Amino acid sequence: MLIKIFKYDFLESGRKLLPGILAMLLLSLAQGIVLAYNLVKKNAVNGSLQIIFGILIVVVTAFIIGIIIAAMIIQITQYNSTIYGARGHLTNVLPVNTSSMLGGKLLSASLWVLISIMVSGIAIAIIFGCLFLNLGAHDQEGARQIFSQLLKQAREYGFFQLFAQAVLGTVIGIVELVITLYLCVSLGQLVSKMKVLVGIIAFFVISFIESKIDSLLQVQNSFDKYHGLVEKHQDVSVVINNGWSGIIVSLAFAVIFFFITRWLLSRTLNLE
Amino acid sequence: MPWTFENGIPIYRQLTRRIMVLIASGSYKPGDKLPSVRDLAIEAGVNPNTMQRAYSELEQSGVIYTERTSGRYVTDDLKKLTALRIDLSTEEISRLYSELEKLGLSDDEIRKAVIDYKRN
Amino acid sequence: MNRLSCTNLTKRYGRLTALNGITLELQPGKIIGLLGPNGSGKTTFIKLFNGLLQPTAGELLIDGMPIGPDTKAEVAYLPDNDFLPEYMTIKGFLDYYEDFFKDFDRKRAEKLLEPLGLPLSQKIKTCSKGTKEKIRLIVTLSRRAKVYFLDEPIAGVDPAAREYILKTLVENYAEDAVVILSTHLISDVEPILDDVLFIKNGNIVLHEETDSIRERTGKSVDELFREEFRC
Repeated sequence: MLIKIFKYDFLESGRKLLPGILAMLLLSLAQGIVLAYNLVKKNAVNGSLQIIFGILIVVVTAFIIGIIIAAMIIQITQYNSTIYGARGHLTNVLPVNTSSMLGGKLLSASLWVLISIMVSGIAIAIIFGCLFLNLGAHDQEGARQIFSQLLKQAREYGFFQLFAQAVLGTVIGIVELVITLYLCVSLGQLVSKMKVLVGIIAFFVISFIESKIDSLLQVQNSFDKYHGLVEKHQDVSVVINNGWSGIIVSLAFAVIFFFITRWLLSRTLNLE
Repeated sequence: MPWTFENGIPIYRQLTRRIMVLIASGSYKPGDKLPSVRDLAIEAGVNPNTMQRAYSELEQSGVIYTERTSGRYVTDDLKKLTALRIDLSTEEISRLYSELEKLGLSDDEIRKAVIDYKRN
Repeated sequence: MNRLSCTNLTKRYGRLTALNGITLELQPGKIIGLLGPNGSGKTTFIKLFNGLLQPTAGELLIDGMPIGPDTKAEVAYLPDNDFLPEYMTIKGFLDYYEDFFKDFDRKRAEKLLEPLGLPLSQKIKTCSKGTKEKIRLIVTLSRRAKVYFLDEPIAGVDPAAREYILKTLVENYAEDAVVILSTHLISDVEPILDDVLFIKNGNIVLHEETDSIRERTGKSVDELFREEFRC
């Protein structure tokens, strides 16, 4: 049943998000072409083209950032409308237990946020790739050298391990963020008026409490610590261990929020 | 169109009477197969359980009988059907009679009024 | 086994009591009218049995089971609002419904949809209000459920549509099921009710067979209702 919930929620979000994703990729490609063929410099005298190129950069940037924000907003509104809206009279009478319902939605939402981040990454890669193509042979060689030096440093300092950890941390972080958003929506639904306001306040309160607990457990943002350690040429394993504790804390929060949200859904649901 | 019903009388009893009238008037002839409980209930716009009750009553009165595998049929017994016709018309006559009595007609006046009506 | 039962079922919203300790047992094979004016607790009662609300006190069971996914698999609910996913096509929705409800008789639903003359590829959001009402009714009644809840199915609907709704109900409900039909418009539905429940201010004030009421009081249920609920 969880898989069924996941499937339909995934498709429902996809319908809303895919057009935006496609638009973003096309615009990024367009931007890439502008950079690769050095169109800006070549058409320096053409005022209106320059304006178009300027708008293009702004729009592409907006889309790249916007698609991630849109993904998150879509997940919040979809959770809210399918459970607490008119659709709730269908969703909540499906023969699915609350854990599967919540789990399926959580998985689908997390996957879409992750996809939006990856696609944004692809868009940025396209743009930078095209930028690279546009460099002169001398500059390209220089870029390649810098890149291989970074790789060497990364290998020495165990950067790949850190990178893998960061990826895992990001995924778990996304799941934790989504379940936190779900929790805030459900908390907002406990009141009869100003539900959105209550939800937003809940989000800030929860984030605040989380950061306090984080510092209590001395879990720091891995990136800051890495930066400090590289400067002191210290062993990266400390950072990596610290990273694991950060991931575990994140996971713990996610699990706790899952159970609270599940309790809210099964005990306090009150449609209309 | 669903059938219409009077207020104070149980629906199953009204259904029984309706079907009796249909039989007596020849809409359902002797030996005809009656619609299933469900089909007639749907046509009449009533609950199948209520229609079932009506059919049971009709069966008890001997006006219809059940053939185990094929359904319900109007009786072939012409004596029964004649008796039915007489019962139903007696009901109507008594109703007419009490209405006319209420209007103040005597027995003789009632009889004359009926004959005159038919003549005109 | 009672198909549907509750003991001292109570629902309070702060100081407002919507249901006041209702105890009831309903057997299969009957169409039951849940009759009362607006605000009497009909919808609250129905939502509790569908798991859309939690009781303040008391116990409720369907087929001896507490409300949960197992009871939801056996209960078909037609609420008084539009729960259809706007973005789906009719076929897409039938796929969805079939995917979740094992007792959904898809062929029956498609047969009932035929007279509406709609292509299955049509999007639900382009359907008229009346069409959507019919779609909701058809999918609900095409389930071979053990309990049907119809919440005000004929309110705000023209007489021809009312006839269609009641006819579709009698023709298609699973005959060993309990059908609970809530309404405040009684004369239309009276002929199809086996039993009636009068609900007033969260209390059941009458639970009797339709024909028994007519026999006992010499009135129709509609007339009795108007007397009982006269302001």
